[in-house]
Amino acid sequence: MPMEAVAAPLSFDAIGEKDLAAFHRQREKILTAFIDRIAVAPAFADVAADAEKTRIAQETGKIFIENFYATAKYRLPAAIVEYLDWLRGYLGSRSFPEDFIPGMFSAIRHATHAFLDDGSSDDIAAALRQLELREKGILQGDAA
Amino acid sequence: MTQPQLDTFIAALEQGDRRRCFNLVREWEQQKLPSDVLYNDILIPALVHIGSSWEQNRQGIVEEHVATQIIKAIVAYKAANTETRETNGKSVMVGCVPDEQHDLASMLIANMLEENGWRVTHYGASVPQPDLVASAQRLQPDLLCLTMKSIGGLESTVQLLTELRSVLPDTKIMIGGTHMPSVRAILAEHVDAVADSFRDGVEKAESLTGG
Repeated sequence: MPMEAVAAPLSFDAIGEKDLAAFHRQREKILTAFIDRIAVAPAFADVAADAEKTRIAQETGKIFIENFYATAKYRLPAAIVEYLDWLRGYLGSRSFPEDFIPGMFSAIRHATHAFLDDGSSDDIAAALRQLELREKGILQGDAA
Repeated sequence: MTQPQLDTFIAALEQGDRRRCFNLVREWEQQKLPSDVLYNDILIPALVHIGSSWEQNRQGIVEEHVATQIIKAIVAYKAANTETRETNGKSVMVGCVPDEQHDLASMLIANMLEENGWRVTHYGASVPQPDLVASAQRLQPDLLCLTMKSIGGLESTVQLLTELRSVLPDTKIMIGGTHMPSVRAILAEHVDAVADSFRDGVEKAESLTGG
């Protein structure tokens, strides 16, 4: 599955404007859910144990949600990929766990499902899942 | 000859040595180093270097801010002390797009245009959109030159550009910034030119407004 997910061109075309607007309206709740998740999820234990990493992780979540919204709205998957390429290097140089970025996508995806009561979360979640699998594929050496 | 100068400047910048950086700039001024070279071949590459050092965790955020403040002070010094060419009779309004806090690029392009004879109004960052539009309507500049670094503000930028276009049909609009490759197609629909570099921005400003 990761190979197919990485190979498939990332697209935001399926995301409806109304659903994306709902995502944008709920962005604070989605971010809060991600931040809460950092504190309790075993996958983020290394980050939660370090105050500076926690601060960076929270800021990263905020910026990612903003960038995801902007790039999905204008159908610019290349722009989010470019940002993620930068983010991987930035976090890597600060000794973040390699699976932090896919873990962040997973947490944001689950929060999106939980909070998009005024719209469908399916297509947004699918795009986040595609990004998550793409990151995992990169970690496994499936894509550069 | 700029590589040794760049290396010397970066070494002083990395140490946060304001006096050394300022003295270097004055020394180069006395040697008649053109401002264009100082901006494009020393200050901007030094900024890129410092930014990369921060990204790669070789320097902390405080050191990155110290270096940025040194360069801002130099750019402000140059704005106040550099003789400009004879006026070209054209006016430009320069500043950041909404939600953009990084105003150094706008300071640099403001200096470059001013030194090329433009009458510059530089508003910097954090100006509310309605006030910016109202001010632009009042000033009626020949050119609006906007800088953008973060893609998160794309929606508010497009909204601003749409409104500016509607109320200032005769004013040319140019935008530049570090994320231009990936968002260029969207922005290009709303502006007259996308600048790929500072030098490109100065050239396009001239060509857009009739040379």
